Amino acid sequence: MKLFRDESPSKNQAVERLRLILVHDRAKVSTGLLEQLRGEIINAISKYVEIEEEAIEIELNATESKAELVANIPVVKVRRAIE
Amino acid sequence: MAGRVIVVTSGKGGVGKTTTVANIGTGLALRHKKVVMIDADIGLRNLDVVMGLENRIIYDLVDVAEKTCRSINKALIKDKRLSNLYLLPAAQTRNKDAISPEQMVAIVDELKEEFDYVLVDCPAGIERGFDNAVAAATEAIVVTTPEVSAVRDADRIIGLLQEKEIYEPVLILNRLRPDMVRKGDMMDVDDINDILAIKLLGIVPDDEEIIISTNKGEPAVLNNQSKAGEAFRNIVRRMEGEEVPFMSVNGEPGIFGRFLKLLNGK
Amino acid sequence: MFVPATRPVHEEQLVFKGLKQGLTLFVPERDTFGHWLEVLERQLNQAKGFFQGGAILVELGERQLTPDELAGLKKVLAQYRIRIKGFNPVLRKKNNPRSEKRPPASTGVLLVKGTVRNGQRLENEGDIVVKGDLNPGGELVATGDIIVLGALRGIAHAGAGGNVKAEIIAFTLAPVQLRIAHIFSRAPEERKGRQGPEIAYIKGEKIVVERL
Repeated sequence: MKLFRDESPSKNQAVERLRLILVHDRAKVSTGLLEQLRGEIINAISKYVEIEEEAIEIELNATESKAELVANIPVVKVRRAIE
Repeated sequence: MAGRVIVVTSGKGGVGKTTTVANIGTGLALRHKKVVMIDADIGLRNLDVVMGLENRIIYDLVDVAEKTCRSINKALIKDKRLSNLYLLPAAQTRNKDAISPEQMVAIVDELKEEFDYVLVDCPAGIERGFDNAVAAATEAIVVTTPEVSAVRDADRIIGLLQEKEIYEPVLILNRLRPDMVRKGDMMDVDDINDILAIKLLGIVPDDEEIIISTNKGEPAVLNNQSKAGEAFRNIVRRMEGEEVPFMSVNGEPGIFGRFLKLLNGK
Repeated sequence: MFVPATRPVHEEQLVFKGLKQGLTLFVPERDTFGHWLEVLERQLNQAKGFFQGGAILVELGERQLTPDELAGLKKVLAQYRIRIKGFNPVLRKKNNPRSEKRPPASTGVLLVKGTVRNGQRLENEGDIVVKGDLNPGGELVATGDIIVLGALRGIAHAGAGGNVKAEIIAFTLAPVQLRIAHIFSRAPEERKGRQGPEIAYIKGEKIVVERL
């Protein structure tokens, strides 16, 4: 990987580095918003299904190549029939 | 003997402070000095990127100030290439009030016992970020480009440095384009020093290699083909007390002229 | 933002004024510092949240603050999270030979050793002589004459008290703005190339410039 890096045009190295940097930056900045996001997700989903609020897990995972928002929401029962 | 604490500042943004810190730090380390570079631009972290160390940051300056990490050493990042060169990165997600001048002084006081040089990369502007960066410094390098607004801001900064009792800052003139100077489309060193009237530390020509070096995260001073790199190598030699003649506008070494007078005289 | 001056408590001469440069605290010339500080604290307390978190300019006039007085003032202001963004005139640093730059006595000649830089403003009741340049963004205000032994590139205001006979002299006259008494003049564009010492004075109702 390192060898390949040194030989490619420098702007490609720049683009690749930037991508990784921004994934990290955005992930960090979002941690403050995570709580807010969690609250709004609960409200939205609760309209349709009854959920176990305490057991909800919401995470923003940033790895080297991508960022994912993962929500784990245990459902107790469906509130109304889906039309 | 404690190390030298030097703040690199400019007033105006975008004139090359961070690049200067990265290249001077690397250049000094190449001469076997023990160097730590502090990115004092809280909220807009940049020095790590220019050094190519962006993926090694665990703790930052604010973590050290708030004692989130137990010792400064945990936050210091060793350079990829030179083992005597370290970086203390800025915090990315805080504002400039997250650290105080007093905290900066405490951190720098501890670092200068261990390092030959403490270089502080100052944020643009003249507000709290500037106060923080200058707080512990006893010397200053002012960076400017040959443009009216940059020179005006540099003048302001020199006045402020004098108010903070740093009386003899030195000047780096960055991004000089000899072809434009020759045509009379760009101010030269004499024009600028007529206004700023401080001792000249170095002249760095505009060089495409700087952009390439930032792309790669490898400071130009490491590159023997780079004119800007050569200028920074000369700057480092002058900082260490050597008398190095300035390159003339045409790029060949000049011997006589007002440049030497600027270096030797006051 | 315009803020009306607060009403002084009793006869105390403690005034905050909303001026063009921002909210300004006027330090009186006569009062003892300790007494004035007490009054300041009382006023700030009365005004409660009004001043909190702001930044003010402190107008010292002829007064010099000792380091203790300065610390005391900062402490009081810090309680209301008021930041000092500057002093007018700029504070003199103790034991510093370069303090000659700052205004000393109230009349006579203020001799400035060195260049007056962008953002610096010096005032004197009397004349001002600068051994150096006046850079763009720098400002000199004198009730008497202004003489710059270098390049005058900033703003120079001579005869500030109304003295129409005041003069401005410089080795190189290339100002942002000249002012003598109540008359303004901006340097015409062609001026930039001129060399040699020149003098500016009022003739008729205009400022004229002559080679020396």
